[in-house]
Amino acid sequence: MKKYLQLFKNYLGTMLEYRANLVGIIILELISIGEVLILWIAIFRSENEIRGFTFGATLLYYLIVPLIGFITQVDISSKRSQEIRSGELSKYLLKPYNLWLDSLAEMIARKIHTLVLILPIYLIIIVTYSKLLPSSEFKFYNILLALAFASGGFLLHFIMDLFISWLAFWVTDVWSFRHFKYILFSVFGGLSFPFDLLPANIRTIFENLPFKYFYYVPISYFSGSRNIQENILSDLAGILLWLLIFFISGLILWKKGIKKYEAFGN
Amino acid sequence: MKLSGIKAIKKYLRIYLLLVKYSFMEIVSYRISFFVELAVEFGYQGAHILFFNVIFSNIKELAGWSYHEMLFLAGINVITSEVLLGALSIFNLRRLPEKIRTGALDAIILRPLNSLFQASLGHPYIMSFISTISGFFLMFYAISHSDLSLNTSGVFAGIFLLACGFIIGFSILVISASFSFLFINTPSIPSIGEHIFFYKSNPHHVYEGALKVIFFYIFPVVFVSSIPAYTMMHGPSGGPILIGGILAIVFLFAAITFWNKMIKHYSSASS
Repeated sequence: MKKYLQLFKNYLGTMLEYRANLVGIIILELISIGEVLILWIAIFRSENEIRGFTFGATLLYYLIVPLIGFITQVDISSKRSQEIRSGELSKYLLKPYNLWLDSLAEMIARKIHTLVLILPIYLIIIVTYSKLLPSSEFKFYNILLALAFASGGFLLHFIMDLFISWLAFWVTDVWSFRHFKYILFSVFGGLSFPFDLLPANIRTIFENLPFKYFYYVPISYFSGSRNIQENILSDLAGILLWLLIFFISGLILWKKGIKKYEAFGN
Repeated sequence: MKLSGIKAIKKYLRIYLLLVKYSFMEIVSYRISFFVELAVEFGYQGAHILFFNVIFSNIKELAGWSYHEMLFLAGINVITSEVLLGALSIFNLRRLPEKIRTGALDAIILRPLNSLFQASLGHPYIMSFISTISGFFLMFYAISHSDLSLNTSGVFAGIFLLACGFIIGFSILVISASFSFLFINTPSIPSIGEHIFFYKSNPHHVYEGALKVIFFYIFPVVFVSSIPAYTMMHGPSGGPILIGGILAIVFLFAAITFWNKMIKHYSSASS
């Protein structure tokens, strides 16, 4: 455990070198929210509500999207796949620690670096905004539940991204798979629109996929729009099941891939 | 000897065609990646269309634009995004911060070619160009499934405005990426220009008041997709054509000047 803690500290130190980038990321998020908000403002000029969604609720949804995204977003596959391609992976294989846990330490360091600055700012914005909305009132346990599901979403995304990394043992570049993942998130994760806007039969399909844990589920718990008693057990079981599926699949890929690995350039 | 303007354009056009050819050879040599990337590009567009379908299943029009008008705009959006991002961003300007940090920009500066040309257009992403097909399909579908009709003058004016839009888009992306020379270790900088650029996806009638000033004159992204689409569908009008032309010239001049100023801040990583 001590060696992974040290790895975590090393990665956190590296992240601090990229402080200015964090400001850039915040600006990017604000620009993205702006684009969507302008569109929804235009839509709600002629509508009072859409499938029970008021303008305020929609606004709140898109305000929470980046906050949850900061927790659930993971990108380890670009680095790991590059290392597999270049043969750099060998240096990790010779070291006395588990590469999966090393990757996790790096991702947690990145996350903490981002969240320490962003989380307080965001919570102030969202809570202030909710005070202006008569219909929405945040409850402490809703926020806790949302953060718990977002953390679960982070872990699921991490395992999924490692799964994509190991594909690099067979294909030359996993760049396209990573982008494919973002499409899935955008549509099936609830990044582009809340599931509440979907017709019931299509929504059922969306609800049975793993991507809902990256945005929709944490956001709807946060805003209090998801019935806790009805959904919590199935959500919990769902995320655990998907974690298990991707973990086992990733492990199989890793074991087969490492046998095939030829360490080019080394 | 200094090349004359037309000779220089011919030379760079020839070089660019060679770059396109090599990029195509590179991409088709990995077949699995080729098909996956193709699927990804179409997937992106599918996601975008699904988004509009979800919205339009609940409303009848958006800022005065009908579903088919929005679909036509979505088609033009696909084309402008794929061409501009594929030509300029994905393998080029997005990688500028890394090239500056590692000193890889040395190779660009030492070659007897324009540095901005190499940094912004040196490595085209061909898959993006192929993916424009779906944009044309969307435009065709929107026209054939509605009472929309295109007239010749509108189409020509729209194409002129699209050309202005491409220049404006190029300039915004270059200006944004140029800040990478000042802020080292900030790989997110080129993406800021891209994110501003994506405001082009909305119909220009959604921008009112201060937003109208911002997206018509300060970051005039409405000239990249929405105004050309509207002109093609509803015919030309003098104002946007004149303003679009002037803005394209001003922004191109600003982008080249800004790039030349910023590149002076570059100090090779190894020296």
